[in-house]
Amino acid sequence: MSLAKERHIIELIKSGDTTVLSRIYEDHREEFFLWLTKYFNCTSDEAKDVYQNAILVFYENIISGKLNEMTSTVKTYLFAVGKYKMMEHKKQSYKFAGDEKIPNLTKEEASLEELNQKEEDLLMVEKCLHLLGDPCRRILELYYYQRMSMAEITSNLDYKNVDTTKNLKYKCIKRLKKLFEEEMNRK
Amino acid sequence: MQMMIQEKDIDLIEKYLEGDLQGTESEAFHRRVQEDAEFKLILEEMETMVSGIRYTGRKKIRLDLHKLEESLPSLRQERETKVVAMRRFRIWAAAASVLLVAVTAIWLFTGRQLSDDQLFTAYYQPYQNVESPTTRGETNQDVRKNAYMAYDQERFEEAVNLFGSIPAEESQPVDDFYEALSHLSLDQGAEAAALLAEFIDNGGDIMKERASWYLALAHLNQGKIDQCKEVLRIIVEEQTYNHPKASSLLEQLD
Repeated sequence: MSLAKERHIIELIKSGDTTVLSRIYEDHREEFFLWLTKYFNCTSDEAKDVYQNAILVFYENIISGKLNEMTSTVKTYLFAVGKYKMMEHKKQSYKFAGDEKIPNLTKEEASLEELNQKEEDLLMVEKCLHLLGDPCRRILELYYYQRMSMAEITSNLDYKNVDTTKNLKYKCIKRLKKLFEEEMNRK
Repeated sequence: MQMMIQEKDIDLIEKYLEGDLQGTESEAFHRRVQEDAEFKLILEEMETMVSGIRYTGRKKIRLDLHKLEESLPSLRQERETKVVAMRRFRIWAAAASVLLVAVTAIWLFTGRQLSDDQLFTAYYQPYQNVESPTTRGETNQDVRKNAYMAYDQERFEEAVNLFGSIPAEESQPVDDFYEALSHLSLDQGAEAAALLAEFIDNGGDIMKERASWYLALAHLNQGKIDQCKEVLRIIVEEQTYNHPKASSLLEQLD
């Protein structure tokens, strides 16, 4: 089986091209929805969520370097992830529906509070990234989320040399940290 | 209180977050976290920054996918469009079947030799598009989608132009198959044969069998009877797609 197309897709995604993701989404959408609704007896909204999760997993596994080479087609990969995600989703629904035990409130409350705090922090970073604006926001996203190397970011943003990008990245993360502390203190 | 962070500490924390700290470096790092309260806070804050950047990136992708989903026709609409396209192909198929029966009857009962053109018209019908959703692309850049749309609507000249303009990074081997059939529907057997031969060499799936049948018809369309018969014999021998029709056409050509 020739996987030249898959290799090319991985290269495009790694280079920061997200339009390829839209094309993949559209190419397999109908077949995926039909398959999922038929075999898992789920609603179309559930199928949409699972499909979008599968696409996201595919994307993040590529940018994080977990998926460097495909041994199957993109379609097979998406269907395998989708099946796993759907089973996980169903398992959770059954667990909640059948859980008759009275939960340990103190423990639950403590972990819920922790979770809320974590979520609040993430939302605060999101807000600070927005305040930070470009090019800092873009550099940090390319480096920490898309896991690009300094050389790749330099070429992606048309900077002159890697050292400029590296210095900018240090300044940007320091500015983000400062903004975050200021916003947290303001609360 | 604002804590200053050194660039070397940023590098060190990044290494830790990526799981790249090893041996003594890792031991020293963990010792420092335990002993240096300020460094521990810096680490926690950096973890939050990195998680927050990843969370924002992920949220953006999710939002883009959600917007894309909203912009697409609902699957019910899409299925309806396909049904219309399917009906159109059924009409073509029905017409071709009637012609095929008539031609075979003439050949059987009168023994009259039929021309290559008559045989081609009787046996040829475009293959149903099973490859691409048949909804029009949002922009002119959606060339591939529009090519399949034109093919489905039997606007074959437009389809030929569009298939030829699909950017290399978007094109798939199966596009050659449908481009070939667009040519064949326009009586351009030579162009169709070249594309089908290429597809058979590189396609590598079940569509290859379909391509062989149409390659035989592309040869027939050009009056290349020996080549047509050669492909038909293989189809009959290997009992692949349309082998009963191939057998019947072979008899009429002999």
